[in-house]
Amino acid sequence: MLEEAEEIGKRARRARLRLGMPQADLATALGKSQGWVSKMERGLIELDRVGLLNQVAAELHVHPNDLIGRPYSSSPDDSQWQIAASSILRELRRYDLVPVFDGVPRPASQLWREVTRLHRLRDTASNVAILRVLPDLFREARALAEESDGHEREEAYAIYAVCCKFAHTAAHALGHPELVAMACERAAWSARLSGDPVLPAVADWMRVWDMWATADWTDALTLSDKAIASVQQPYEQGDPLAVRAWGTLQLRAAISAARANRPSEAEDRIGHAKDAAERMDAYVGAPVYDRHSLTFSAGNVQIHAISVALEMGKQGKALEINRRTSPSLVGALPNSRQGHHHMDVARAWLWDGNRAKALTELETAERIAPQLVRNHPIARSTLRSIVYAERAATREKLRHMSDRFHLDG
Amino acid sequence: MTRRRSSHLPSQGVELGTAAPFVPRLGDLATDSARNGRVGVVVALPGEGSATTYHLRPPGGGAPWSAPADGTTLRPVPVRATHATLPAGQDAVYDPRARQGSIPVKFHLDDGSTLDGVLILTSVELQWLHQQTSRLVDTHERAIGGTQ
Repeated sequence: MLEEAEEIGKRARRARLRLGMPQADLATALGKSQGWVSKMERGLIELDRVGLLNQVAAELHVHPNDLIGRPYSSSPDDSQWQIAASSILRELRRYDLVPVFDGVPRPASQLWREVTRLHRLRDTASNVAILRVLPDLFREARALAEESDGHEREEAYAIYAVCCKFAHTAAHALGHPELVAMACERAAWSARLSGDPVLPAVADWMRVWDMWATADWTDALTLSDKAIASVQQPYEQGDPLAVRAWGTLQLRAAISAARANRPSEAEDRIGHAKDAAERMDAYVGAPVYDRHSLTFSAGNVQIHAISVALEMGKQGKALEINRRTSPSLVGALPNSRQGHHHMDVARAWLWDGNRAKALTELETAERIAPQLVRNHPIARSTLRSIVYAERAATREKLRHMSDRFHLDG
Repeated sequence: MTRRRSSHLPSQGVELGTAAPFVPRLGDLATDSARNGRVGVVVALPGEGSATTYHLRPPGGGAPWSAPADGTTLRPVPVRATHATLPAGQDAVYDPRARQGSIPVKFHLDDGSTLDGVLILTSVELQWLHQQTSRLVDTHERAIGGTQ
């Protein structure tokens, strides 16, 4: 486990040398000292923030996964999801060719039911299962788009776009950059054909996530604002799906602003998202099916406020927000979101010097969303830091005790 | 269109209440009689990867459990209608012989799917509905007037 930090450092060093870049230049680009870069390359400093990890990767012109060695090697059983991922990639590559499908595709009203299965799997953080369901659904949605017309055809493209979103999220969680990129592109394509006025903004929301991988914080904010503007009118009219998308985009913009070191903008965005959550809670009317599968609620805003504080290195504030947050608000979130939240709180406790609480939170995160947490670079970094610090502390205690016992004569 | 076999199963008769055998799929909701009817999301199927049984998790997440590979303890959770709406562009029809009206409606189910149906109204119900909708229209107009 500890060797993982050294491996990351070695990969960073190799990437830097490949560019012929001195440590001092990398340090300047990152706003750090040369000593910091040297320690990082020796695995003595953890890249324990996504923003920082992505910034290092961007300066070295590599994908963050290339630095952290993701997907992490595991047993052949654990890697079976890659077969499903390849199958999805094949479908996405042949998006404009005649669909391959046996029989008559079901109507869109029934295919949405299949999408609901994906919602449930997402909420239980079962990313591998999501990838297994998707290839057939992609084929059938694409076949329906080919055979139908009018609104039914638009709905088929909407289903295709939402499937892309599920593939995108699962690929991010499992560490498959090629699937991430292609799912994002196809989501934009199918969203445009869907006739759904909110779906293109959802596709942009996905693209913002991908901009983070190259540390393009300013572009991420610009794209967020473009997408927000595209749903501004239905948001103001109180359309529940637009309110959800608008609020979710503000949350993504808040994280982008925090990583861009724009704290007041990050706070403002969290405030806007809170307004949207209140608007959503105040909605009265027929229940609206969350067809875009955007998890957005007051609880989600709170856990993003914690993430934003952490991104800005304010662990005390993060813990304070966490203390003020009702556990029921977090408990109402799906497991995938709760897993992220407990990972964040673990990091906050670690930085605050409380390893025991950090470990408890990390254990909670793992229990709630094992696939997500075991594959998450920040969770792994947090665990490495705890293990290293515990070993160092134990070594120190044993040394003192050995001295007292005069074990060395 | 090029043909290829799909692993999708036909509708399993949940909404029709038929006795078609239940073969759980990934993401299906199921109740487990071996767990006092506990409801779970199927997250792994027997024969996939290392799983030799069905694996379920509570909706939204929680501790997983297993159910036998023959699925005998699992039953589907019926979908429920959340509300009904009027489909656009479809007129109500009056049948003089049956002396009843019918209004096309669309049922929205909690799994995101929809079903088309008709609301049948006897002459008494038509009168009652007329009164009710007139009252609602008046209230609506007053509400609009109040905001201007």
